[in-house]
Amino acid sequence: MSVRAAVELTRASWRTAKSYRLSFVVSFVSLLVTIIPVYFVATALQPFMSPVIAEEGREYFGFVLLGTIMVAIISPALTSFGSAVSGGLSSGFFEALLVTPTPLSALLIGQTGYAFAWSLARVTLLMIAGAVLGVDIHWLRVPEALLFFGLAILAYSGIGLVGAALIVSYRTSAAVPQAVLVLSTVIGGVYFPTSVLPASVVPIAEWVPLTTALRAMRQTLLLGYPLSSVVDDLMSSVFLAAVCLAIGVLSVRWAFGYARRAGSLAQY
Amino acid sequence: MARTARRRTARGTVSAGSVGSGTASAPNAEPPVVRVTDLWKQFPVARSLAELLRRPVGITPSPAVADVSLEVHAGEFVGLLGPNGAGKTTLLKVLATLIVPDRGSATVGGHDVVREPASVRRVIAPVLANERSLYWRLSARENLELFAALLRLAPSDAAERVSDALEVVGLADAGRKMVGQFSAGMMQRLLVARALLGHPRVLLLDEPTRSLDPTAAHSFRSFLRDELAGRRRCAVLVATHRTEEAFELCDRVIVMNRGRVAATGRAAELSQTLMGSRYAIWTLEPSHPALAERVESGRARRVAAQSDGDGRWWRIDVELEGGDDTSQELLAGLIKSGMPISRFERVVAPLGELIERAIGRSSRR
Repeated sequence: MSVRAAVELTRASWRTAKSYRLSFVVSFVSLLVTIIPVYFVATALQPFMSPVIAEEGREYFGFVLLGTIMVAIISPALTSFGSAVSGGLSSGFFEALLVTPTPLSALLIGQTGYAFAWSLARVTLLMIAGAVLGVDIHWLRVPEALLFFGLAILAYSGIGLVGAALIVSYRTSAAVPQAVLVLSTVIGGVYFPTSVLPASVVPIAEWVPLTTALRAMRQTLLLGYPLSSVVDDLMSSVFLAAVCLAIGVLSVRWAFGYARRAGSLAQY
Repeated sequence: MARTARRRTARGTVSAGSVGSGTASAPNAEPPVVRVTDLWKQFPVARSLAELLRRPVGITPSPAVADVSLEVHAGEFVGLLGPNGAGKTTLLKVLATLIVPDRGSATVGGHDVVREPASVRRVIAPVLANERSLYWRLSARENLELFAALLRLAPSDAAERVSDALEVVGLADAGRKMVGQFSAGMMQRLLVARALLGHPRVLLLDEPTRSLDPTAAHSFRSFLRDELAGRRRCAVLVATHRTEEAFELCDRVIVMNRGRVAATGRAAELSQTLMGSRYAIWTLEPSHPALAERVESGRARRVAAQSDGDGRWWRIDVELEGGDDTSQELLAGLIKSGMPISRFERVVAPLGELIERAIGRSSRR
């Protein structure tokens, strides 16, 4: 029954988005238009980047494409919970949801489901565009890649939940999700491998969930490595996902309890 | 003054027409659907750093709800009347499980709001949020279908319940229309339809006519009274700062001020007790001897006099003791004496005045 509630909430958001037809179409078209210059820039840089990225791929375009895909999916994981909560609190919609018998977890998943589904659709489109533009993808390694993809989503969802908890408690996320997104993009190996980072930054980068998940995803999908070759990154990704998610869930539980006591679980 | 002294407990269950604290309750053999006992809620006060440094301790915020006790029975329409900050909405939010009280207890349908919030949410339907809490880009029917799922109604029942709810609030023909195209009144009705989907035993309404014009508000109040309390036997608790709304709509009224119950009683009796019988007389002769004689003899108390723009017609406000019989006698007497009167009507006292009276009477007890 809770699954039904989450699905219905996601459907409601989908129907709302769909009603803005032009914006819906433009969003897809702009994605395709953006990938074209990336392709040409990556092709131009290929001779210089080829030795640097050798451990994670052969073609720089494929390397950047997977980095872009990961950023496209961790972005909603980081921000959609906070956006849903703050939007719902300011409109009073969240208050209307909280007085129903549906559990909080289903409400949060339902409220953010569309953002994730939309990002997955965009990611799929990017993958197809990449394949059309000649990226050499090991399609048999897609299940392994999806595993790392999922672990990254879980880890960043945990951080996103912390942001939502801060909004519920203090009406501000203190820019935590945005800071994590920027940090992950810069030192997580999106546009260049972490091996080129200063030596003092590399140990920090290893604690960024994006670093391990993205590296393993590239190695499986672009180089065809089996899971047994990326066990270290798998263990790190599982650990980071578990820790981040646990912190996120506990934060949300604490925040809603606090807000019920402080009387702030209502409209702004 | 109709004051009864029906006491059930040591603290006292004070019924119709009483003023002050105590359990606001109506005589009824059935157990109450809502029972609030000595409820207390105090919110922390947000202070700037400078204030904190100037006075780090010793700030005692006034409570939002202080020692409030009340009972509501099935089919009863109870009004929480008070100015902004009186604690009405806080009380409703405690019952809706959105706020945890500091002390005291509250049960809805026999379930404790703190210990069994999930059970409470199955029997209660709050209409606290405004029309922004609807999906404006979806149709009325789609909005209700969504909440049918959130209320965990079986898919096989949901369609019928949605149709029924739309029918009840008079929106059956507008079910396919996008909510963004609705008027404020239609949205308000849709919010009530949403609340009715789960067949609640208790309905909480917060300022239900706030965005409606007087005509729409009147029609909406009639609907609430006839459909909810009359046909569905819902216990309805409505928070309002409109005096006329509370006294026209509700069986009982609880006047709240600064978090406390200032007065409680049956609407008709409390209205008489607190507002007295105040009437406005529109006349060409404000100093007519017939009226002056009644004021001098103490049969009527002149409260205010105000002329219209050109000074011909005057509005004289008088207070009478004794209700409709006295007012009928006054009107007949004045007309017989030849006093030129164009209008004579009952006046609802402003909320501020009503609360002052309630507090005054409470302190005299």
